[in-house]
Amino acid sequence: MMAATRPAAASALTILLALAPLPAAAAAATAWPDLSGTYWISSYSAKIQAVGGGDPPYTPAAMATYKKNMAAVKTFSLDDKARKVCTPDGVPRILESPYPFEIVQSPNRSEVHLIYELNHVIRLVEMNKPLPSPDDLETFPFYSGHSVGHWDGDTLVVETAGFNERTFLDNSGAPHTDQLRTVERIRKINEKQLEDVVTIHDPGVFTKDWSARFVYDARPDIRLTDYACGEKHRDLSSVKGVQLR
Amino acid sequence: MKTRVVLSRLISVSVLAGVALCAGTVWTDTLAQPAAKPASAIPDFSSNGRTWVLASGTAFLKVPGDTGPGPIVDKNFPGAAFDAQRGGGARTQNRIADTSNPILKPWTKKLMDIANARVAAGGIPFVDDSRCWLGSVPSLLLFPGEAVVFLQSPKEVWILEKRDSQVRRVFLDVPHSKNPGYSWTGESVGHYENGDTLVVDTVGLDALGPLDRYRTPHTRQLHVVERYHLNNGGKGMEITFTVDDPGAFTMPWKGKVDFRAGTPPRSDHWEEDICADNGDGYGFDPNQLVPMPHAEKADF
Repeated sequence: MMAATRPAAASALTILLALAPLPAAAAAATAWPDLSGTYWISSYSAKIQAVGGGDPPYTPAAMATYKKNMAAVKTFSLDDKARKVCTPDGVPRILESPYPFEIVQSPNRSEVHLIYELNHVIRLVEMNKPLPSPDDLETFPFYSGHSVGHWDGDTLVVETAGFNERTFLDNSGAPHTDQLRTVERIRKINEKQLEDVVTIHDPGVFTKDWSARFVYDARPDIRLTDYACGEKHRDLSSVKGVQLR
Repeated sequence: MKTRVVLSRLISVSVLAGVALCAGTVWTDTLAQPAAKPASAIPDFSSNGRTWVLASGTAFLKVPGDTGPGPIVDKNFPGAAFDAQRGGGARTQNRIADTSNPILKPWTKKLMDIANARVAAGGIPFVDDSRCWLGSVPSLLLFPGEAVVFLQSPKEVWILEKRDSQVRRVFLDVPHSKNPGYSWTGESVGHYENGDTLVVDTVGLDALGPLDRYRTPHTRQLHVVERYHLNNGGKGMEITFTVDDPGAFTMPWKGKVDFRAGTPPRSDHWEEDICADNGDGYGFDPNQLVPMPHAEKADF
């Protein structure tokens, strides 16, 4: 008898708790962190900067490829579709874009969109879902990969895999393979700045995983605009580190 | 260098000069109008992984009850008949615009007649999104077969096109800027009405791509008001619009398309779809094709 009544009582209590207003602390704990807004990189570097300094841990073969690519970048002769026909930059290259981007969080908490002005890239981050199967990732590789996410406290964690091999890791020609996987940890570091720390895993070119960090300023004062390939765009002269060409 | 040379492939140089003159019409703030007050109820275009897809074919339709001339239609296959003949297994006919429509100013008609003659002679017709050009307003409404997603926040609506991941932004309950400038999708402000409609007012549209798949040109005076109206219990959407461009047309005119809701999940309809991946030609003679956008140098 007791065994029968206890679950019933527990259910009633659960209903009452669900109907009652949450205490402030509890409400805060269940709130969805709000990263939505417009952001613009604080400082641009064509070469991705590894946390801790130095070069990313390339294998010798990959380093040789990278050196060739760097030379080709200087003459605009690199087969770089992102800069020539405006295909997506891929991850992590898009993270160093000198153009602004937006974070849009869906009200039903199922999706986060990262919308970049550069090459009008849209990254869909499906929340609390597993990555597609390995077969699907291999069969349908994307420039921006396939992204899923979850919240770790106030940090948005985005895992991305299933990249094609038509992109570079940065604007200096850093190579990667389709074994690339990234994990981003995106959070506000203060009221006016956002941080994205990306860990890069690609045994095809690196001897170990490594990380890079990007900091963005919140820019509620600007609107993103159309980006049409080959047209003159937004003035980037105020972005630290940008060398206009 | 921008590859904005499509019209030179479509029309003669002399006519292009006419376009340039009209396109150069200076924008005035007289078209800038404050948006209406927000409606109390907000229609839901976006939740539960909802996607939308064009359901009414790749030509604008006449708005029921409209007593005006309506949009440019096909000379041989009016209304949705063009898509029907394509889907019926018959040989696909290229689009020939019905330039007898009285909305066309003489220079606009002349341009379109030249393009018609070129297509009739076997030339490859220009379709902006097939050549990776950004869509404009209202031409984006005709992007076929691929998902459209709405994201809604209290201050803004984003309209995302899977096709080449194009983005429109609608700023809610604010007036137009005093100097919105010119761009492919212009400046859009909007408000909700009656709990089922999003009204979008767009100005600042540069005289770039065509308005539709009949190569209808426009000028920088273009002003478009769209009404996105949910119907069929939220499973359908009728989008009606009014085009006002005294630089290109003799009168304002109306058109419409219908969208239908896709089935969730969203991810089933949202593969990455990058136009430039499709290469340069599909096997057609590249000399007959309008160039795809490309950059001669990096801008940073």
